[in-house]
Amino acid sequence: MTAVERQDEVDAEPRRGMRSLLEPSRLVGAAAIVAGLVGWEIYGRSLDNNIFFPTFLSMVEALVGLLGEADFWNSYRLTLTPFFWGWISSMALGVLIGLIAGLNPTIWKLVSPYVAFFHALPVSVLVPVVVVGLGIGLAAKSTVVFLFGFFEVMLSTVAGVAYISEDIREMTRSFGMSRLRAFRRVALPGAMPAIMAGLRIGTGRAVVGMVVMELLLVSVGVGRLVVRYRARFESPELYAVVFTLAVFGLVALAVMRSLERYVLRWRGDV
Amino acid sequence: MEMTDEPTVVLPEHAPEGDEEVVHRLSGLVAWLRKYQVQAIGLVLGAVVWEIAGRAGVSPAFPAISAVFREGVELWASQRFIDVLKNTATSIGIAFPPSLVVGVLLGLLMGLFRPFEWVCRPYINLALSLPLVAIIPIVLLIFGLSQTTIVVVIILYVLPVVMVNTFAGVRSADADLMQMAESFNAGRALTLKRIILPAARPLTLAGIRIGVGRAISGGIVAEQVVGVLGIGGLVQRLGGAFAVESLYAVIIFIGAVGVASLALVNRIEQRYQREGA
Amino acid sequence: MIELTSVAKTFTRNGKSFEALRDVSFEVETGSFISLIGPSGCGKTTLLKMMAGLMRPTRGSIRIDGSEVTGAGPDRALVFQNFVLLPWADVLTNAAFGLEARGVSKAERENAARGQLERVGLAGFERHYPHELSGGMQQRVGIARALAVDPDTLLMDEPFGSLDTITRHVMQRDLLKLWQETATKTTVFVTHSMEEAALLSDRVVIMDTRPGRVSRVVEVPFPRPRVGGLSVSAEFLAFTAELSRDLEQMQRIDMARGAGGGGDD
Repeated sequence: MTAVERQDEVDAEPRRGMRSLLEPSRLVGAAAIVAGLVGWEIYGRSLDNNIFFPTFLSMVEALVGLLGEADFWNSYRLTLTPFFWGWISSMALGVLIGLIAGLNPTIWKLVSPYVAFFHALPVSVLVPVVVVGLGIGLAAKSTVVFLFGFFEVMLSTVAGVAYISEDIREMTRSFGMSRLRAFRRVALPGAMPAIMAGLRIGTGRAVVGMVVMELLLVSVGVGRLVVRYRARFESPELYAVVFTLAVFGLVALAVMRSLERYVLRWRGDV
Repeated sequence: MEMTDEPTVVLPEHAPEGDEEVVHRLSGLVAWLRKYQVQAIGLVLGAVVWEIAGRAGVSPAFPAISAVFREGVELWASQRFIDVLKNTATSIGIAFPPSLVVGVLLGLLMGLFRPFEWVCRPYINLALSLPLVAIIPIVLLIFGLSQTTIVVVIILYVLPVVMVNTFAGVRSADADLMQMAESFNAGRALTLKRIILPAARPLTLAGIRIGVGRAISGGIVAEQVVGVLGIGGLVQRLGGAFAVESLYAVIIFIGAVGVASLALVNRIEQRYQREGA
Repeated sequence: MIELTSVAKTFTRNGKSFEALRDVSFEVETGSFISLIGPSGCGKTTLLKMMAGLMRPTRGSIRIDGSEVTGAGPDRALVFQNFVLLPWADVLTNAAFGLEARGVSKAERENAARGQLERVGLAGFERHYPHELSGGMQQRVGIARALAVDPDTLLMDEPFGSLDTITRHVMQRDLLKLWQETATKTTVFVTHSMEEAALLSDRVVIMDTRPGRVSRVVEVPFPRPRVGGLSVSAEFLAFTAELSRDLEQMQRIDMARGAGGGGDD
């Protein structure tokens, strides 16, 4: 039994068909969300001055407006470019270095003090260091995203490779499998669930990194919109931008989750 | 009924007393060093590489580690540093305990009353899968460049994990034990006291451990965005001033506090766990 | 007296229904010891849990001394196959659990629990935790917990099923002795072992699978008080050998009918 840190770990119920959509839990949940939105709208309207707390509908209106603006899409393009490079490199390097460290106990031990340190460190404090080293351009932005995603992916991969069950190890040894073969046939598939979980969680972290990057670095992308609307107290627009960031995070996670399901379909339970 | 099968009792190990303890501690240290020698070598090796890179001037982002520590010794003792530290500690001190209490209570309610779970669940799911940092600009809009902003962000970071873990803990209560309680006609109160609460403890503690980490990281990132408060604000100012050595000194401090608090919470967690299982 | 009349149980899982028990009827006289035995999936544990009041029959009725079983009651106590002790509570608290459930005061319930622990041979272990005890000792706690509430009926669900052979033997003999000393508790005992059933019980209810049903009820011919040595006598061996053949036969037929048991145990 492991602790829950993310939503994916809570939701054990698999598959949702039409029937399960009508389950009381989902109906009540949907009703709770609707009630929350209605409450938000009513509260917003009740305020004399709702500059800090716009109504839900005014946010929706602002959102519709934003979606029609070229500037909005252009900002997202400028934000997603560094996100993409940082994300893809954190995934690739995280798995690669994780495999190397996981398969070589000595290397793992050598780097483990630093890993423990970085694991306990809030990644955001590294942002100023990145700025000092790389400025505020594409390289710096991608690096921030990379730093957020990398450790999750690497640690998860190490855990996956290092803790393949002793029974399975003994079995491969008893059959006298070659190392390369044992890696391809046993270690890699055995570690795959952990690696895929690492990729999913790392993607979530990379999205967080993207937002942090937008908030802390002088931004030309979505962060610029955030700063602009906050400075002008255009709160419906600000809420709408934050909403799109949240939606992007949810979509990224959903995509990774389906990828995970597809890759691990042999498990039959994810 | 006669006792015929040999009792296999696991006795708790007794701690050595007096002189023995000193010997025990020394040999413990030696054993520890032997056990972690590779890690120690790795630590030193990394520092050496860093020092060389720093002296060679590979990048302005890599000052020599000796310079970092020279700067650090001065900084860590300075009033300015202690002040920002106090500021951050206050924010966490204000936000964390109530988040913990409320989180555990709401988690228990979620675990015990299904309709309440159904209501909370979508919100918790959202809170755990959204990039929560994105909410900072809104909190900032509402509460301004103040400590309240930091406190609110920490609460938003901590509350859902504490809640969901306590909830999962309640639900982890063994079905056989529940059936046993039912077979003896145990009431709700007794079942709660003897079965559900003890069963929920490990995961609740795990939730608190995760909550500590999130309180630190959420508080600091909020301070960085606000820019003028606490240790996160200091990090931003040092970075802006290109005071790289001091910046690293602060980062090392934060990392060390992070490692230490995780170790501490882990210890507490293990102690409580041992009492049970 | 426990009377089962045309008891049937059907489980519905994921829209598929599974007939666990069909038309089960028998009686257990007050003060007698009966065993339920049969291949895996014959529904014997389900039957026991229904007598305990933890499940309701789909059809038919279970009556104890004339009144319908509608839930768990203080007149019955259940002993579980995997002990089901509170891992975070010491032996004394565990043994006193049933009394605590009835709101008996701390001093009183601990006193009673102490007495029962002594009877099952666990005096001196009151402050130990379950994980510090062997499986056999853990089940002794389970038995003490059941006896502490002084039930009229003792329901035992393969209580020795997860113990090693030697411990199991010792536990059987100790239970035999204990039960004959008290000799007032109506006992229903679920088991896989024919020797166990024959040694301990007055009657054996042999069950068959798919659906679970009573195959036949056999009187155990050996007079009480019995001693452990009975189990190596020629008559005993002949008796159990014959019944075991029956059971084996059922198991083979069941296997031939299709894969898997898919029952309650």
